[in-house]
Amino acid sequence: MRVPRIRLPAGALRTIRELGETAWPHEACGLLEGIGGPGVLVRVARALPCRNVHATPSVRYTIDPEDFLRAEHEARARGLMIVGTWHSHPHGDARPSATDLAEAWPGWSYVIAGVTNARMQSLRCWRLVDERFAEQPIAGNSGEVHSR
Amino acid sequence: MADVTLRIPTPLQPYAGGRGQIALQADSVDELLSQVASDYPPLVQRIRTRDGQLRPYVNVFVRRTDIRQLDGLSTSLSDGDEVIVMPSVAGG
Repeated sequence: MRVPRIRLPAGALRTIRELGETAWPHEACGLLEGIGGPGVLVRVARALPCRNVHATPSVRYTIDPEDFLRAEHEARARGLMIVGTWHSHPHGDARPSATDLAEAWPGWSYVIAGVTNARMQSLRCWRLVDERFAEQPIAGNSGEVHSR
Repeated sequence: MADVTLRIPTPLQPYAGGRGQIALQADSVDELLSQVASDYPPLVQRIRTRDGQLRPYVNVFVRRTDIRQLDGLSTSLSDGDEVIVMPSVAGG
């Protein structure tokens, strides 16, 4: 199955970078608001920050359910939807972990920022295909993140 | 019975025939989920355990309040209530 691309605006990239670097060595997390659907380009309008309420935030994240609820309401009010989530890996690898796979939902985009020493080094996106992660190409992004 | 709406966020929509909301008549959350189970068993399997309890990593909100802070699955519903099921979003 071909994975549709995802378009991330500069503002969303900036949010993920800043929060991922600020939260280091903990994981930052949030939601992606936009439009999408099966087999079509996913267009992200904004990356929303959410609280990581997991007890071990250096290796895990759990989005605060109240933040998720608020984001759902806001997206609906704007005629948009939550199309996925983003989080950072403080160990620098932007590939999904076994925990990411175990917790993933079908139909969502999973953006992961690899952060090393409080600097984002890479940004990749993934999507479940047949219960495994397949990379979802980020439109206009090579996967490498260049310094500011 | 009360006329209520079950709102289904995007991660759970594949288990509900792609629907984002379902209009129902029910007087409690328990009753609402039992009705939904007849039409969309995979959806309710992701909300309740086999013995009917709420799964630990699922939150159900009524009037924007987590039902664990109300009367749990026995939480009563009134006309116009919106019931929202929020799955856990987590990873590592």
